[in-house]
Amino acid sequence: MTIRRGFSIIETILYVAILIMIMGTMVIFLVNVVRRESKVTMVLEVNQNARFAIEKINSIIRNSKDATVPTDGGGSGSTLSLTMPTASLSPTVFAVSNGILTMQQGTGAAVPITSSAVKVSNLTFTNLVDPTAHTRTDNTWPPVACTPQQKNGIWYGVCCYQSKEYCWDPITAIFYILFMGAKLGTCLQATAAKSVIRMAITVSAPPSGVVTNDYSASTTLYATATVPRQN
Amino acid sequence: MVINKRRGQSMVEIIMAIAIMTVGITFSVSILMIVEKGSVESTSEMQAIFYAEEGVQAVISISDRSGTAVAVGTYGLAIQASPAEWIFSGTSDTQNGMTRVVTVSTYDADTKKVDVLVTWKPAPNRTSTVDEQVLVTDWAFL
Repeated sequence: MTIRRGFSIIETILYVAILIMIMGTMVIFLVNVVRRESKVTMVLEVNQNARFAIEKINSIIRNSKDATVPTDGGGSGSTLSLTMPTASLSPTVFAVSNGILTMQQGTGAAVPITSSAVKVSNLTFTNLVDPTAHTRTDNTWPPVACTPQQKNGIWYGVCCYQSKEYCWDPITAIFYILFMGAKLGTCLQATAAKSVIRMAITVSAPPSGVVTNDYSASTTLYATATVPRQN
Repeated sequence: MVINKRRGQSMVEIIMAIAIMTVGITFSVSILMIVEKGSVESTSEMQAIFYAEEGVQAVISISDRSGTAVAVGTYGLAIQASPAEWIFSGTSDTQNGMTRVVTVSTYDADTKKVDVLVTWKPAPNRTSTVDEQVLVTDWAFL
């Protein structure tokens, strides 16, 4: 009768080999988990920052009075300067400094809008406004301000025809109003946009100075917001 | 008398254990991959939403200039250099692999229904869309 106790050397080697295999798999798995988790966190961080930045700029533009930088008529650049209805908040300036989007209102300090976990790698504002779009079309007398006025005993008045304002004498005006669908008075669209700002923002991670070998994230968002014409 | 008293695990049990673990790990890894893919796709979805919203704002700016400019049809959008403004151009426009199509239809006598559709491919065999709608009224004629 042979009673064996303990493990043979082959058994031990086998156990150790299996253990190493299992541990190896576990380690690879955990490393994978951590890496993917950081990548997902990074993507979320980038997305949240991009979305917040653009919504913030959007809301400020919609509540502003005018955009002075970039220049009207297609000027573009990475800085946006807005005149606000409240004097103490004017100008409100958006700019990028060391990869962080900042907002400065009036004489206050520049406040960061994006977090230091991401960098703003591109920010472009384009000031779209057509300076001629809302001027009156004076195809008859008088050529300048067309408030109802008299010349040679005839009253000229403002009519709105096909989205443009015309100065007409009564006979022309009556003809256009009766047969062409013109309306007496100024066109309501004269209260349209003062400026239309087109913006593009690219937010990416990792931020400057941080090196990661194998993962990065980047988001580019576009938006257009209108500066209302305030009378 | 032979006492056959086995202790510990048999080979089959070990193999079973490894198999179960492998299935578990594979399952977890695939869940992680789905989460990662989801976060990447949510990025393009967000980009598409902003792209569509921009289309809506661009059409509103065109309508602000001249209500008659928003006529029934299918358009793309572009920024004209001079005068600098949003204009309709072609039948679609593309940005970062996303295609934007503006469709204008009649809603009532003074109002147009504007439909901005953004289409992109998150994977070669899949198409995603984001759709935004707005009604624009030709204020000058009210």
